[in-house]
Parts: sequence; C-alpha cells; structure tokens
Amino acid sequence: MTDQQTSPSPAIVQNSQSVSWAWLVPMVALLIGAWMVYYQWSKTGPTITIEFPRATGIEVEKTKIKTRDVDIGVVKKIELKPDLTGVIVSAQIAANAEHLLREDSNFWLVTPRVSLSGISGLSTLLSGPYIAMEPSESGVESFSFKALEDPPVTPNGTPGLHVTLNSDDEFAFKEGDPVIYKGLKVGEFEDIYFNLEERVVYYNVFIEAPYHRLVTDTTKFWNISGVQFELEATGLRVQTGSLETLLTNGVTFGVPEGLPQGKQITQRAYFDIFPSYDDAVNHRFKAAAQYVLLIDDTVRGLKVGAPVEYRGLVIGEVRDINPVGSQDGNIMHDGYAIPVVIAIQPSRVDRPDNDDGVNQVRDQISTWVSQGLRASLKMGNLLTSALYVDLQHYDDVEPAELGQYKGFETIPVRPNDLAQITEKVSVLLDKMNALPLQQLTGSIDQTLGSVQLALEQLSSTAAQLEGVLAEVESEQLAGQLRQTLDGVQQLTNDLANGSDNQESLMRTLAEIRQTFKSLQPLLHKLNQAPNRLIFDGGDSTIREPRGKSPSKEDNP
Amino acid sequence: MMLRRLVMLCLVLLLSGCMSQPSAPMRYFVLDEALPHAEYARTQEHHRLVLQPLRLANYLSQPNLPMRLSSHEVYYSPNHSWAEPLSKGFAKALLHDLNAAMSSPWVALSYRDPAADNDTVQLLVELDHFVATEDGNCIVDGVFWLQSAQGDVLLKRGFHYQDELAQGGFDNAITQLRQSVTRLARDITLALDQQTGNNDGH
Repeated sequence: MTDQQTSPSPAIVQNSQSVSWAWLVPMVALLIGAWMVYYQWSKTGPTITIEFPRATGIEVEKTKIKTRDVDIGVVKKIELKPDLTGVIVSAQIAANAEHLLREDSNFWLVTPRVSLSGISGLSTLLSGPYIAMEPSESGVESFSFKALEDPPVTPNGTPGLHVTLNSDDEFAFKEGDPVIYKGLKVGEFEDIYFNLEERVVYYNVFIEAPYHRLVTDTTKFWNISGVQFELEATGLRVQTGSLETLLTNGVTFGVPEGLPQGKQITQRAYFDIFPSYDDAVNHRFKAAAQYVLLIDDTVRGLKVGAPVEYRGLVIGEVRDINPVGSQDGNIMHDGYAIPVVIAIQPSRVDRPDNDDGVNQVRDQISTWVSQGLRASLKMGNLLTSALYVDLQHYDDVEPAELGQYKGFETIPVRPNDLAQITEKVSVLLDKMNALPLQQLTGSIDQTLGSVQLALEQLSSTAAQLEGVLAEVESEQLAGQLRQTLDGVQQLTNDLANGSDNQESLMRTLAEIRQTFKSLQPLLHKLNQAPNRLIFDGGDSTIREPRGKSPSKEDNP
Repeated sequence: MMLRRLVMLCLVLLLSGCMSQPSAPMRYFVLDEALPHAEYARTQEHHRLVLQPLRLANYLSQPNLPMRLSSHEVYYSPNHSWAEPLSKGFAKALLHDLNAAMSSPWVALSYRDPAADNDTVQLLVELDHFVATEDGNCIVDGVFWLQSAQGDVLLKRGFHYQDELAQGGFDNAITQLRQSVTRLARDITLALDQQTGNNDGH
C-alpha cells in the first residue's frame, strides 16, 4: 500500500439538466397551433341573423351572402321562428365586412325573376340562390336584420330625387313601373302606399340623376300607360310612351307650355298624376269666368272638358253638363233647357290669371253679348259626333243681355248645327215641291226623243262611212299584193333554171367546190402533221398496193 | 440586243423550212380514157338505158386514192388523188363500156343527157367497194338495179370482182379497177338482155 492509498474522496454530485430540449418541439407546435387559432378567430367576423318569410333555396354552408357579387359570408344555420311566421337564417360574415353591418343595410334573396320590366337573376339557375346585401354606412351597428321580399328598386346612395306622386284615379301602377321623359326611362316606382282616410294612392318614385334636375315646382306628371285613344271634338288622338309602357304602366312629366320652368326640387315633393297631358295643361289655369248655357236641343256628344272656342281659338272648357241639384226643373219637365257650365279662362285670352282677369273677361263678354255674341253647340268631328261650344258674333240676332241661372250668368244660345241643317233642308224641300215637275217631265221626254232620233241618224252615217273605208282599204291591199307578187315573179325568173343568174350561181358553187377539193389534200396533210408547213414530214414513206409479181418499181 | 437575237433565230428557223427536201409530187388519176361517145339519133328506133346518179360509199368519195390495209383499215395515199370525182369518172367509164357492150337498138345515156326521157329503163348502181388492197388485190363490189319507166324494179343483182395485181402501184391498180368496170358493163348488158329477152348483143 502506498501513501497515495488514502481515504476515498467524496463523490461530486451535480444536478442534471432540468428540462430536455426535446420539449421544444411540442412547444413550437403549440405556438403555431395557437397562432392558427388566433388567425382564424381574428379573420372570422360576427354571426348575424336574417329573418326571411321562407327559406326557399337556402342551404347551410352553401348559400353565400354577397354584396356587389363579392362573397362576404355564408349561411351557417337555418331555423324556424318560434311563432312560425318565418325563418331565422344565421350567417357568418367575414371580419373585413363587419363595418358594413348597419341597421339600414338591406338583405334579400336573389332568385330568377321574370316580370314585364325584364328578367333578372338568371345566373342563379346554375349557381343556386344567394343572399344579396345592400350595405349602408348610416345607422348604428346591427347584427339582426329582416330581409326584403323583393330586391330594392333603387340601391341606397344612388344619386337622384325621391318624389311622391298621388292619384285619386283608378290607375294601377306597381313597383318597378317606369318614369319616362321624352321616351327615356329616367326613374321607377319604388313603393306604393294607400291612404285609407284620404282614399288616395301614394307612389314613391325615384328619378335618377341627372334627370332629377328636370323636376321643378311647375312640373306636372301625367299618365302614359299603354296606348291611349282619345276621341275629342278635334278627332281621334293616339298617344304612347315608350315600348316598355306599351306593356306596362308609366308616367311622364314636364312643364306645360305657358308655364315658367320654376325652381328645381331638391327635397321630397308631392305631385298629382293627371290622366293625360291635356289635363295637366288645363290644370295650369286657375282663374276662370264661369257661365251657363241653357241648351234646348240635345247635348249628345258634348263632354266635360270639351273646348269652348271663340272664332276658332280655345278660350275655355266645359265644366259641367246638367249639374245635379237643379231647382228649376229637370229633364222630365216640358221645355226644360239643359244647363251647361262653361269656364272662360283669362290666361287663354292674354289676361291675368286672377280675379282682375276674370272681371275683364266678364265685362268683355257682357259687351259682346249685347252686340250679338251667341253660343252654340257645333260638331267638331263628324266621325265621333263630338260637340264643342262655339262663341260667334251674329248680325241677324235680336239684341240680348246676359241672363242669370243659379248665380251663374247665362250666354244666349243659338240652335245647334243639326237644327240649322234641318231648317235649311226643310226650306229646300219646300222649294223643290214648288217646282213645275210635270211640265219639266214632258219637256225632258220630248228632248230625249229628239236625241234618240239624232243617234239613229248618226249610227246610219257611221255604217256608211265604215263601208267606204273598207273599200278604200281593200283596193290599197290588192295593189300592194300585186306589187309583191310581181317582185316574187321577178326573183323566180332570175333564179330559174337556165337563167344567167342561176348559171352564174352554179358556176360559182362549182368553183368553190373545186377549190375545196384542191385544198383537201393539203388540209389532210396538215391534219396529220401540222408542222409540214415549215418542216418536211418525218415519215416520207409512201404506201402503194403491192403486185403479186414484185418488180423494182414496187414500193416496199 | 436580246430581241434582235430572237428575231434572227426565228428567221433562221423559217428559212430552214425551205432547206428541207420537197416531198414526193402529187399524182392525179382519171378512171376513163379518152374514147368516142356513143352516137344516138332520134330517127333510129333506140331503146334507152339511162344511168341514174351513182350511189357511192362514203369512204370512196374522198379525192385521195384509198387502199385497204386489212379487212377494216383503209389508207388514203397523200400523194395520189383522183383528178375528178370518182362518181363522174366511174359513170363515164360505165356508160362507155355499156355502149360498147350493148348491141343495137340499146343505147346507154346519162340521166343528164338531154336525150334521156321518162320513157326509158333506169339503171341504178350502188358501189360499195372500188379499191386496191396493199397485198395486191383489186376489189369491186356493189349492187345494180334495172327499173322500168313506171318505177317498177325489173331486176336487182349484186356484183363482186376481185383480181390480183400483177404489178404494184396505184397506176396499175387503177388499170385493174377500170377493167372491172368493163366486166360490170358486160354483166349489166347480160342482165338487161335477159330481162328484155334479147340475147343477141353478146
């Protein structure tokens, strides 16, 4: 044993590594997984619910939500409402579209639609229906919506003007019907509201920019649906709007003649829809001097709105015919004159459209009536028998004054056209009856006898003349035939057998024949070898019959 | 320069045609030889046989002399030609031989003869072959008719003569063919005599 064999030294204990590096791998995997979860969570938008009346064609995980044809979400769940009044569709919206979810945003289901206005949504025949969203930037954020039953006619934010039209007539406009301006479609009916209290239908109409600048405070709207036939005192008038309005309904608008252009409308305004342009035009006259005409004859053919003319110019219109509530009698009474209310509008005769103008018209009419102005019903159109009121000055009438009828002044009336014609025909018939027809008949008989005799003589003369002409023609024909036969005889003699001409002809023909025969060998040779004209024939062998006892003269 | 050379070349080519040796000269033949015509006088009591226009086969109507190379092949000599149409030459030769063969009171006349009238016996001849063969034979073949003045056919008879050529050449062949015409005239005369019952002419 050596010194070096000392007591054993204590072992040095060292702590081993606490965490193995192998744990790094699952840690990284965990981080990546967490990042993926976060990424997915950060990209996922909110879930919204949309209420539909029914879920036709909507499928979970298939039906997309689109805005401007860009996918922004997909349907995740469909469930019935507890009260069975509709379905609730839950959809996942992309996070980058979350800002579009405002309470004014609209949703609707896009499916194929066929209407008179056109065909839409054809692309969904193959791809299936989708939910379209019309985004809005107004309103507060919302995650619950109610879908529209039909697509909105005008997208939000479209430049233009919203106006409300009303009509108490029985029009039948519907959503999507066009608004036409000079044949162009410039807007559409958006929705309809019927006011039960007023019993008036209100139509919300949108007019697109820049045509909305045409709408001013003097603008009038009138109906141009389909084809409008109007039988007037001036004849038949046909009006159409555009091709579209031939099939559907529509309105047009404009500023009637004589009215100022007015100020442009910038806020929602209310307008009436007039049945026609004429109604719209007539509506521009406000003040009118009304009179009553007491008609003893028939008023058949006279209509409310028929023109009142003074020397051919329209100065007013018929306002009423036989108004209800007559206290002086009615049609069942003898001698009842039918009252017709007419209105003479000062604006039509260059007078102010106010009470001053009305007074000026009344003064002038009063003066004229005392000077012979009378009213009468005249036929404006023979086809339709439409009547109009004509105011004319007459010299052969007794002086008269304006009368009174229920607060209206009355203008004296002359009988209408038919009565005048009847009177004239009656006078004419009287004159005809006074004619000496018996004597006239005798004279006519004598004259006809003389004429018949003259005609017989003329016929006899014509027959004689025809005979003379025939003789002249036959003599001329015979002379011409004789000359022709002489010519033929001369020609025959010239060509007769043995004549000089015939011998000369035959000699010439014989010479021609001889010449052709002389040319025939040459032609035959040329036919066989055309180059013989210049070159000698290649084969100069001449064949001849061989003798039975050959000699040196025989050819091979 | 090019144009001038081209013109010169054309002239040389044209003139070279004149340098070629002339081909063999054309030879023309007639069938009948110069012989006296038959005399005829109205005062004598003659029976007239009128030769009507000859009916000639089409291939014989050519001016060039034909030669049969085989049974169905005909060769026209480019250097031998009839001087007058064969129909005329054959008619003249036949008339001459008929008048030589027939005895009085018969006389043969052409249909163009002024002495020929309707009250005569008509002779119609159709010539189908009148040709020499390359192997040295002469063939004359056809039909003749005798017809009364009223148009009745008195006789129809065919004829066919084939003779060997002793020596070759078209001139010898024509001589041989001419002798066949003489034989035809004799046969016609014999037939006429048999028909009219007069055999004294032979």
